[in-house]
Amino acid sequence: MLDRALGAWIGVRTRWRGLALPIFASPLLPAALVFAIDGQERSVTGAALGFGLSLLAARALRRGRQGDSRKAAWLMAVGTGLAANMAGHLGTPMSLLMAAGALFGTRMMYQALPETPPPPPPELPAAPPAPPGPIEQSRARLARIEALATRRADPKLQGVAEAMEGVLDDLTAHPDRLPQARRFLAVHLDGLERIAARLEAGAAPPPGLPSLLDELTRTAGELRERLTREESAALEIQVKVLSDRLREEGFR
Amino acid sequence: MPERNVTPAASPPLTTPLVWAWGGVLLTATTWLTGIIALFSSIIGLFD
Repeated sequence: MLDRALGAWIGVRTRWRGLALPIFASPLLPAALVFAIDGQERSVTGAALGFGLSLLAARALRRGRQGDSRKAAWLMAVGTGLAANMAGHLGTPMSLLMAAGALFGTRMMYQALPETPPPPPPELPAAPPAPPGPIEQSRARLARIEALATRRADPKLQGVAEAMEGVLDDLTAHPDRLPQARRFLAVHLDGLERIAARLEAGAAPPPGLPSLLDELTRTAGELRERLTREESAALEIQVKVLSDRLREEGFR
Repeated sequence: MPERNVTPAASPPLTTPLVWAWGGVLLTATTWLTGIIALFSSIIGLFD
């Protein structure tokens, strides 16, 4: 019963929380006005700061997030301390005492009121997927040709597709060789794709097609060999340069 | 108006209203009193 009454009370206080703070500081408003009439600028500033900070504290409390009551208590402490010193002319020790009283008073007054956790940071929109690279594009085109070769049960077309797949495997393992193979991919894959498209459209294979396919298979193999040979030559040069350097430096 | 997602406090002790009251007393004795002192000080200054 008492628990329920307390819960209801907390509900009411949560709805109205923070609004009492400017009421506590309200005598500072007429004080600021009278100080202004009297031309005491420092005192006007102190009174205005005291009331203004109580409004800020009320605003923080109304938000009701975690840590806001602590923030409001500090705002009240600073406001009260400044008002006591600048408008009340109470001296530094007494002003500090007033500030400490306001700090603990605010903490105590708004204790046990529910606070919401801070909202999660806004999620960044997911980056769009990177467009497929030239090797991936070539592989997709080759997959279509392979599928056609399997459907037609054409061993020569399958052979070319396999040979070109070998080239693509090499390029996947060593993407730095791609510039050397770009022309090959453009010419051979494009040609093979057109042939496959015609065959799929129902064209009768001309007599020269098997030899052309053999040629394509051979050149694919040759390209792989050439790329490997170039790598070997580069390695040989590297070994020679390093050996010479070691000799020059007197290590050998 | 969007509804607030308020996390209920875990059963506060029954002495909580007393703490609130003491908080109110402290604020009265500090912030409110400061305001009253400033108000009287301003009025006295006006007629001084």
